[in-house]
Amino acid sequence: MFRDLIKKMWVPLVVSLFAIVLHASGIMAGYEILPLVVTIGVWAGFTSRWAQTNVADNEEDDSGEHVDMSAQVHQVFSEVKDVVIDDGETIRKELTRTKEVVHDAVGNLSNSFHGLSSMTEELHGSMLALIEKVSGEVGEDQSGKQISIQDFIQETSGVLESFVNIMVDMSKQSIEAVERMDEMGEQMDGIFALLVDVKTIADQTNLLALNAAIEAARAGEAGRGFAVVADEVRKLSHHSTKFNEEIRARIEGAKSAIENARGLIGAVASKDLNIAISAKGSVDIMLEGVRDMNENISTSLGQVSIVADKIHEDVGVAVRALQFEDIVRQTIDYTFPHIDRMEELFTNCVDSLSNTDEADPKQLTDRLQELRGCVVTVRDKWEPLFHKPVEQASMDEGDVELF
Amino acid sequence: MPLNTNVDGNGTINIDISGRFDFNLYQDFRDAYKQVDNPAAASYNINMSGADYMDSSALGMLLLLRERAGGDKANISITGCNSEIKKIFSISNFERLFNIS
Repeated sequence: MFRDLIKKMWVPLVVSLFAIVLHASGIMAGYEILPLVVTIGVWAGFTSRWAQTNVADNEEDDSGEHVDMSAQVHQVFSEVKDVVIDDGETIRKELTRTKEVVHDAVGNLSNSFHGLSSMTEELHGSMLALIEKVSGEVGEDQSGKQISIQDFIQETSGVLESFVNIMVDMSKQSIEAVERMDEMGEQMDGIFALLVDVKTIADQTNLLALNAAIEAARAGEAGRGFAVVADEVRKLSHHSTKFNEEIRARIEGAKSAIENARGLIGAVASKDLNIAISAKGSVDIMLEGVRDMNENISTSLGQVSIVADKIHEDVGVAVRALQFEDIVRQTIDYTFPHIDRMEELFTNCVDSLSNTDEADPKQLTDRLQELRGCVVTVRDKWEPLFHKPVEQASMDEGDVELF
Repeated sequence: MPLNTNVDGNGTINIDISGRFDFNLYQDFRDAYKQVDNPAAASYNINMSGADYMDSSALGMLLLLRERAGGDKANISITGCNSEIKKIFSISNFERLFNIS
């Protein structure tokens, strides 16, 4: 009964064994999915097909159908072999194409990132130059010294201050001049007082002359000469009074001239300072504005340089991440010998089993023995060609600048 | 009267100014400090709380008063300034020459 079961189930059993051997020989290590799918497919196909024929076997006489069944099995083996070879070829082709696509894409990405990096640096430099121009130097003076907006405003502030000082000094000197003029006016008032005295003297002289003339007339002929003298004295006193009037008029003219000058000098001294106040206010606002601007600029500069550093860092990370192309390429290269080995092993097994008469247990045993030997040979032959290309598991490991 | 003067017991000359402090006050201002025999020996308090305007002639008068009152040794206080007048004193650096409040 058990022998009978073995005899009927040998093909699925061998396929199972084959799948296990494939696993064991490490073919699936580098490229797991496809061989696994093939193995499962083969196993499922064989099992279902064999189950059908097995049911038929149970109903029919097995000796009569045996040759046909064997031929069918060989046919299936041959088809499976073709599929495997075909798939192997497709896998190779697709992997090669993947390699090329990844290589091209990574090349472009790498160029882009390097371009981005250098452009970022250029941008940073331009911004620095711009900021320097805006905040600081606006030009050169005649001696070639750099002048900034701040210097300019401070200069303006200084000019304004000396302007105010000059104005105040001028006012002070004008007031001083007015003081002198007032003193002159006082002196002139003194002269007027003296002129009054002079006039009194003239008046008294006139009166005396008049008295003398009266006395001379009373003396008659003897006083004639004296009357002439008295008349002359009277004339002199009139002259004196006239002079006195003239002097008074002149001095009054001078006084009113001084009064005029005093008014003019007073006007010179009286200058409205509101212009200076508003100018000073404007300068203060400008200085405040420049201070604010400088502060804003230095804040912005800090932000720009932080962003630039971040971009530089990110580009570095991106460039480092592009190592994946190298890893992918080596992994794909590593997969090729595995496909070759799988194909060779599969071909050997299928060819060997195709020539086996499964009705003959001895031949079956011999074939299994042969196959086992073949597996060992193929494994040993291919083993030196397998080498783990990349131990690195993630892109973050290491700090290698590739390309 | 825009300018009033009195001399208190300590010999301090108090000058109260109201309205516009300009050239029109010159004569009264001059008389205020001329009334003492020795202007350099006196101390002065100029009360500006009633004043609402001041031009450069006022600054000239104050400077002249300072000179008469002994220059750097002068003792002159200016009190009760409004903000505009304070600004003028500040722009003309009078804060270094007078006690201004």
